[in-house]
Amino acid sequence: MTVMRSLPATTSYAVSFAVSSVKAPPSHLRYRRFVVTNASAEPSDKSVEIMRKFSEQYARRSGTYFCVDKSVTSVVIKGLADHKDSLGAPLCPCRHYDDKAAEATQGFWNCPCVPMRERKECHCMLFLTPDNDFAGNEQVISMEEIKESTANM
Amino acid sequence: MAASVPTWSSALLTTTSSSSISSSSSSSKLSNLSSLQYQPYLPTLTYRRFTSKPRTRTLPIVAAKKQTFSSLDDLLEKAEKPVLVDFYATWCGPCQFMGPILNEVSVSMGDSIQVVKIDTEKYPEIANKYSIEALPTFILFKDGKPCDRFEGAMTANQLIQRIEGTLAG
Repeated sequence: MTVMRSLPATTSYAVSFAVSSVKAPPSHLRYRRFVVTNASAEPSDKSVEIMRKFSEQYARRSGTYFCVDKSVTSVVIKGLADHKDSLGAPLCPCRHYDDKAAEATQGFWNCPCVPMRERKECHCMLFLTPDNDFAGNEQVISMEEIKESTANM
Repeated sequence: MAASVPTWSSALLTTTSSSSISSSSSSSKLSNLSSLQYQPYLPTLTYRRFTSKPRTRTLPIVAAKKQTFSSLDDLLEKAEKPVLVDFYATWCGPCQFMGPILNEVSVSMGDSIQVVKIDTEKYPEIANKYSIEALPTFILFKDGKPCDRFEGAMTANQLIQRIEGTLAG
């Protein structure tokens, strides 16, 4: 087995299981340890911010750029945040899985995924090498940009 | 711009009490039971087709055709034209990027193909049936059978070229 020079995964964010807005159940149900959660279609702002910062850092670190169309970047960042909320790890949102929880534990497809770390291959179009047709020249994206681009979703 | 209407449907389908979708993991008894239970709640595939006359000075006549299908297999069987199926997910960037491109392609190739989109998170069993991994995955069906399969985002021209190339060959 050859030693591959791979980009180290940036673990600047804490991997923890985040449950969005846990409400206290009504008193007559509390003794049943019944946890009520507000599972929304949108990822939490906190996770989006974490994944936004991660994306900027990792693009800089890997010498890759965001897509010319920033809405693609925004959607992927939200997808990563959504998986971070539901699975505890930012599983690649551009893949179909048999068992998401198992994949998140296994880690191959946790962002930054192995193909990205080894070969700078990001089929999500989040991190694009400069030679890619869709690559822009930016390695930054603001929260406002993310919110605007995904407002209609 | 009344003429630019897409020829695709985005809703999708269901399991029926027949074995049209064979799930190898569950026994036939179990699948019959579960489909009976969920009978009233089965979402149905809605296929809406708009046909429009070529643009002239007068207003084009647009006729919407709504059909209901009980499964993707059913839709593929009944399709008169080749069907391009787009397997996508909500938070997949390239999939969303392809949205307007698919609209454009389904308008310009409306006579030759029909476009259908499947949300793999809502219908994982279909995605599993076709061994979908990367998103977006496009499968072109001709006479109900897959005849081409490709992944990833691309421009409208590249998509049209790929489809035409497959249909010609």
